[in-house]
This record gives sequence, C-alpha cells and structure tokens, in this order.
Amino acid sequence: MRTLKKIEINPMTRLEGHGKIAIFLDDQGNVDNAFFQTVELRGYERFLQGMPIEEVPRTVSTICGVCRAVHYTASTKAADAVYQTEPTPTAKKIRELFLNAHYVEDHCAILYALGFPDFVVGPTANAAARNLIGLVQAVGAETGKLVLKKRYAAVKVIEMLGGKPIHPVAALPGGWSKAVTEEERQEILALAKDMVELGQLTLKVFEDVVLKNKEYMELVTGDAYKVVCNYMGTVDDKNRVQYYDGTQRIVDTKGNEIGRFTGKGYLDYIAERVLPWSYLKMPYLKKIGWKGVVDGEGTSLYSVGPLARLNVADGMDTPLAQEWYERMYATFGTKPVHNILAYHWARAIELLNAAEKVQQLASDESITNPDVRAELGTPSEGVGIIEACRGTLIHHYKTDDKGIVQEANLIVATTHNKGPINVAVRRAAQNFIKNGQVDEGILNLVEIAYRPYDICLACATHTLPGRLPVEVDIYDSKGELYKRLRNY
Amino acid sequence: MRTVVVGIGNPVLRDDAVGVKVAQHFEGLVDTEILMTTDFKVLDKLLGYDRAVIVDGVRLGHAPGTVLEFNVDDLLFTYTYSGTHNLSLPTTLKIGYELFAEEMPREIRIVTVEVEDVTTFGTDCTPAVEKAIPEAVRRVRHYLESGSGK
Repeated sequence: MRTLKKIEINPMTRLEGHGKIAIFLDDQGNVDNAFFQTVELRGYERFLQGMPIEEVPRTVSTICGVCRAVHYTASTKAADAVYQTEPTPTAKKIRELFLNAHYVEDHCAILYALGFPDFVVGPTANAAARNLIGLVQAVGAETGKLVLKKRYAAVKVIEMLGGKPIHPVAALPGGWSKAVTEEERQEILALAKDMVELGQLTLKVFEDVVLKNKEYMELVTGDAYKVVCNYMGTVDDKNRVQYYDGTQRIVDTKGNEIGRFTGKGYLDYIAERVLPWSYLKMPYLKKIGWKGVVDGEGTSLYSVGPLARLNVADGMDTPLAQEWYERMYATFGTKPVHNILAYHWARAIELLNAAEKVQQLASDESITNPDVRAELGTPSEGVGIIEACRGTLIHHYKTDDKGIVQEANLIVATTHNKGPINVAVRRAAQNFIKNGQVDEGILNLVEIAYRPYDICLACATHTLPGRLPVEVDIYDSKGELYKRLRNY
Repeated sequence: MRTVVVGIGNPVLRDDAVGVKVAQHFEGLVDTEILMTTDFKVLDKLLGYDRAVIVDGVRLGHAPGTVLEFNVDDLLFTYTYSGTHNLSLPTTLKIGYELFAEEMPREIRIVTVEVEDVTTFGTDCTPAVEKAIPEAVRRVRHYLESGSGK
C-alpha cells in the first residue's frame, strides 16, 4: 500500500474565518492531492430566522467588515422580491452608484494590500517584506499616499449614500430612504474624478510592475497558476459586465454559453455536492452533472469573480475599461482566460470600470429625482443576486405573510469558487513541492494560488491581530509530525 | 486637542462587540467611531486627530475579561504582516505613520479585552467580558483625563 505524507496549512481563525489546507505527499515526496476546507455561513442563515425582513439587510451587512455594501445590496434586492416589488428607476441608480463606489474601495484595498505585493516585492521575498509596507517602499511613499487619498473618495460616497459610516442603513425594500440632493450629486461627481484617476493609476502600476516584467508575465501566463473551468457572472443585454443587476451568464471552458438565469433560476443551474473531507458543500453546474474536483474540458466546476465576469462578457460598458479589457485578452490571445493570476488584472480593470460608472451615474441629473420608494406587495419569497467584488452573491429568503423570515439561504463567492480554489492549490503544490523539499516559501506559493480569488474567510468577525494565520504541518511517511511552519 | 475613540468589533457576535460597547460609552464626550475591520478604514477614522484610543477584543491567552493597554510600538513588534483578505491593525497603523505622519494622531492608546466567545451570535457578551467593560471604560477615561495625551 502506498504511504502518504501529510502537510497541513491550517489557518486558525474565527467564525467564517475557519479554513484549512491539507496537502498529501506520496512516498517520493511529491504531491498526491490537496484539499481546501472552509466553514460556510450557516450561522447567519439561522440567525436571520424569525427576523423581520426589513431588518435583514442591516444585519447581514455585519457578515463582513470588508464587503460592507455587497451583502447589504444583495439582501435589499431579495427584500424587493419578497415584497414583490421593483425599486423605482431613481432608487436603482442610487443603489448602483453605491455598489460601484464600494467596488472602487474594495478592489483598491485588495489589490494594493494583498495582490500587488507578490509582484512588486516578489513572490519569494521574505514574508516580513512581502506586504503592503514592502509595496509602499517599492513604489514610493508618494504613490502610496496618492492611492489611499483617492481611495477615500469612494469611502466618502459610500458613507454619504449609505447614511451611516461602515454599515449602511439607507436601503429599503422597494427603494432607498433618502433622495440624493443636487449638492450631493455635484460632490459625488467631483469625487468620481479622483476615483477614475485611481483606476488609471492602478492599471499603470500593474503595467509597470507586471506587464513589463518578463519573469512575472511568465508566472501570469504559465501553467503553474492555471485552472480550466466554467465561468459565471452578470451581464446586461449587450453581454457587458454588470455588478448591480442583469442576467447571470454561464460559459464553458471554451467560452460557449451554457445558460442564463435570474432570481430563483439559480436552483436550475447550481447544485451542491457534499464531500466527506469538507465542511462546505461544493457547488457545480447541475446541467453538466458532478464530475469531481477536476478542471479541464467537461468539468462541472465553475468560477466567479473579476476574471470570471470578464470571461463571460463581451466587454465593459465604459470606454477606458473597455480599452484595457481588449488589451488583456489580446495579451493572452485566448478567451476565456484560465490563468488565475489574471484575476488581479481583471480586478484592476473593474476598479476603473466602477469608477467610470460612478462618474456616469453622478452625471445623470435624474438621480436627484425624489421618487425613491415603490409600493410594496404581500411578503412571501425572494431572491437577490448581485456581483459582489469577489463574485456572484445570492441571498434567498422565505417569509410568512407578515414578513418574518422563515428560511434563508446565502451562497457567497468563496463557496462558488470552492472547486477551482481546490484545483489551484493542488496545482501550485504539485508544481512547487518536489521530492519532499518544503520550506517557508511554500506558504506564499500556495497562498498565491488562492489569493486571486480573494477568499472571504476571516471577515465575519475579527479580533487582533486581525489576520489569517497560516500553519503548515509536515508529516513523515509514518504520519508523524516532523516539521511545522507558521507565518505568525 | 482633537480626540477620537474607535471601537472595533462585530456587534452581533457576543464578545467581538466588546470594543464597540466600550467606545459607545464615550459618545457625546469625544468623537467616537465604530469599525468592523482593521484595514484602511482605521486610517479613515484616525487621520486628522491629535490622539486616539482604539478598543478591541483580543485573544492573547489571558483569562477572559483581562484588560490590557498597549502603545503602537508594542503591536508593531509583536506581529508579522500577513493575511488573505484583510490587514492587521499593526500593519494599518504602520502604513498610516509611514504615509501620513503629519495627519496621524501623535498618540494612540490601544485598550484590549481578552475575549471568550466570538463565534456565537448574540448582542450580549459572556459574563467575564461583560464584567470587564467598566474596567475598560475606566482605563479609557483615565487616559483621556490624565494620560500622557492630556
């Protein structure tokens, strides 16, 4: 019988932040398999039961301190559906502006704090330098200062529209509680200029640091970080990337359309597989059927998030982002792009797109119209789907006729991406662990494999030190621990 | 002297809310801010103030309810910088001082409360942590009234 060695990368953190990676080696010390495990959001789903639907958006906004606007927006859309209503056109514009401002803030933070350091400082650099501080030292303090100042423009818009710092309160079923004044519109328009400049600056940094670096481009376009799967994202009627509303489009590994759905239609396309080694069910495409945790043509795994959104779309709906969209696909020379480090590039393009969208929406004087509330029907059941920054987010509630939540189901981006993340981690481990040679560098090389997906594990709560500790346990062929590596 | 008290925590996850609850005692007395994360949003709330108090729940291995105080330098030397989805408070504060030295508070006092349960939903802290809130409030008040930041 073949003996397996076991390496565990075990992030010990709190609710929803509970994740674990286990890597198994064979007798030769090469990777036999790898598993990525997380805890799902069932705690919140239970917590919502018995709660008035109007309270739910404000409550779910506490799911994540980073993704503050996305659960809130998805939940508000689900509440619209529960009350069988559609928000007014003005309310839709306000919500869309709010969500796009969030995209600017969130994508900026993820790129500069977590994505770019691998490239700017170097993927094999010491962990003490391979971080935002190292990034600032590499790009210069003035650039760092400029980025954070311009990012703050998005924060101001979120707080202005949301009605409360950090966790918004302004959305209501069927609308928004407060109309935008002309003065606010003008202020947002001025702030949008900073956001667009931030988007352009971010892509310039990406170009200077990654695109002009032959070694990094080999990493980006190579096979070590490649997962061939299907993709899902929201598009408008011209198949352009959307975040707030539209149709979910699914394409296969070659880019052929598998299907489209809205609302409860997700139940026709997404199934979940219970796996004995995982806390989390693994979603797959129901129409293809379960094919296992494998990528390649015919797989039933699908991915969501920035790269997935660009892969399912025919383009962006703003001019500057469209230029970069075309450039990205021209660089790879193929579509869909399966190289997961391109998630960072797609994220930067979306940052610019969202900034341009804020500018477009704030340029529309009708956003100050007073019609921000629609009539409500009798509450029953509703689904709200948006594109969260890290991928498709589905909130599904059933209430009684008084609007009290009886059942709740939340499918978040990290859940959709569970299969591809497993494949990515396994592939990276197979590429970088050879003949049992493991050192601290493996921690980051594996982290690079899941970082593009921006997994949201540690976000439901936090306590100091507010980060995700990673532990690597290495077992010998007898299953005994002989080495432990930690990043803390 | 412009002063802000920042409470960090999730208001619906029992002991994780302890920083929020302590900060809320100072509403109306000084500027207060509530945060759920330790990323750039911390800087959004600190820039422009002369001094700040940050109150947060911690797991440092002490008995639940233990109240401790730190300066920024204590944290910077305590932790490495890493994460998948967030920034640690020490990293964020270090970035703040490196990029915005003129706008960051000249003094930051960090008051921590050792937590027991941050995984159960609820707005009440566990008894040991609830009992520690008055002590944490007293420490913050003492700092504001007679600390070196006076």
